[in-house]
Amino acid sequence: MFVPATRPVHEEQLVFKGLKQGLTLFVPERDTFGHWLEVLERQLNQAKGFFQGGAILVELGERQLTPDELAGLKKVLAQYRIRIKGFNPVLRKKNNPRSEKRPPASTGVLLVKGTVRNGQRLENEGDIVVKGDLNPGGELVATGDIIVLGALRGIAHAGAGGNVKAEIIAFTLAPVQLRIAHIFSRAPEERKGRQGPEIAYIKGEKIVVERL
Amino acid sequence: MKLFRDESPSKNQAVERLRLILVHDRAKVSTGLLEQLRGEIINAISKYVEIEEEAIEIELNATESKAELVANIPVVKVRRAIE
Amino acid sequence: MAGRVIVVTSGKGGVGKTTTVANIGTGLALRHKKVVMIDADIGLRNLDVVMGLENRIIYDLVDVAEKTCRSINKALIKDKRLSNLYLLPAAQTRNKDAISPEQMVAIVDELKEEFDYVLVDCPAGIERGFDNAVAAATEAIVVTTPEVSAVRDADRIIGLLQEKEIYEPVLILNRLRPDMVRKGDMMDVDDINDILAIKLLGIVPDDEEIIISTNKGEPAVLNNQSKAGEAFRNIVRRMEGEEVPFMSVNGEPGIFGRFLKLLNGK
Repeated sequence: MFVPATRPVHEEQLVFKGLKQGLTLFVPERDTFGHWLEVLERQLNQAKGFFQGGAILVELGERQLTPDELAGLKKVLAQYRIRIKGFNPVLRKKNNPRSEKRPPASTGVLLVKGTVRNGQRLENEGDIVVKGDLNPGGELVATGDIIVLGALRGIAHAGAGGNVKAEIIAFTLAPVQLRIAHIFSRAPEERKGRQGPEIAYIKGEKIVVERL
Repeated sequence: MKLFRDESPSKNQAVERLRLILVHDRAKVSTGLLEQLRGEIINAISKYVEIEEEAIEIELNATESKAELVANIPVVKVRRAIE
Repeated sequence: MAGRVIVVTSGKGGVGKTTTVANIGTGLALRHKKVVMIDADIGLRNLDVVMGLENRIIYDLVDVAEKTCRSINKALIKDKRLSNLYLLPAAQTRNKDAISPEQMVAIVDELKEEFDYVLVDCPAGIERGFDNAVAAATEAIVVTTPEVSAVRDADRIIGLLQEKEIYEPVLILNRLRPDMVRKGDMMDVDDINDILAIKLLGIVPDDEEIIISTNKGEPAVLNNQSKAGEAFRNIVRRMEGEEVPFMSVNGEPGIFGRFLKLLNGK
């Protein structure tokens, strides 16, 4: 169901967008959380029954929510019976060493310790290295390179900002889909039996794969 | 009864258990519909006989072996001659 | 010391969660542990049938949550065979919103004071029913069969469990058919664990006795002739800390090999 974006109140950058994954609430990067929450409440109140009882995705971008902020947001949404069905990127749990999986700073290398599983999607401005596998149903999106020290069986999108020189490397390359910059490639059927590390890069207007 | 159960082929035990389970399940699910059913029965019967609405009793009884819909409807008088 | 709270989940339906809960619960009770099994599949009640207790249900999980019955004990059903084994049945006529994760936590917190093990039978799917079932659990058993879609869903579930801070779920591989594995027509433990990469708790072979046991409402773990029953007995022993070698694909006990590495290592 396509829902047009609501008109922002004054200059406030508060946007609901109807995207492919569902109704998405965009949390701005700059505003103070308290102020933004007030604006959200006002907008929800104005829209009255429009949003009630639905489920939304919350797009955090680079922002991290503190537990208090998260509780505050949930409380406001609960008044309109709006359920949060997910966050993008996935919320980091505090005091949890495995949080390294979640995107930290905006550039540099995102090091993922462990397997990226079905349903998980990780993004980074920079490169991504996975100490483990990328399972079918999992997705990596990097503006730089993607390196999987294991089996790449999910979807990998390197050079996401348009960098056609980005590369994808894996110990075992058996992806659902590879993408470098704007070029897609699906692994041909024979690929499944191949062993050994391989690298994928753009040559001409195609993605080619070579043994390392 | 229990002895007989243990010796018969297991699929018979399954069929017997299922029958009882479904009688119960259906009976429970119907309780919500009972009110609706009651209203429609009143409307239908009232066309032919005048009935004492407050005194109507409609029950769905589920026992171990069967389910019954029992309606007790006191009639005040017959509305029109039956042709 | 409070009891262990373990959720049994899978993502995909029909892979054997309920059978697993029934057999593990019964198996633990056979070893004199005090066990309560909770059927958290609100709206589609199943655990009672597998246990053969379907005609003893008076109150259910939602009745406890809404305090329709005055105490949890009124809703607990004692097993027909083992006096230290109890069932808290699901509600049949409600939807999954009839109970909240917070209510589940309250109920489980009370139960774990009294029981050595609280086993929660999780519904299929990843929505509210899953949230409810996982809410109070600190451990998880993921059940899968050697089929592509089941393994994919299990992977998803493992990711979700980690998000809910259950970091080390263990795996039960159910309905393995050694003849098909030998012919190369079925994935084996290694194939599956290459993808799922979690510790293996047990392998349960496909066994006709499971169907017979469900017909009768007698979990297979009680049956000495059942291979699946034996697998569940081994699973229970491992849960209690014993090191039990995995049966090899051919069914005879294996000693060496990657299976032991999976059990001992990480």
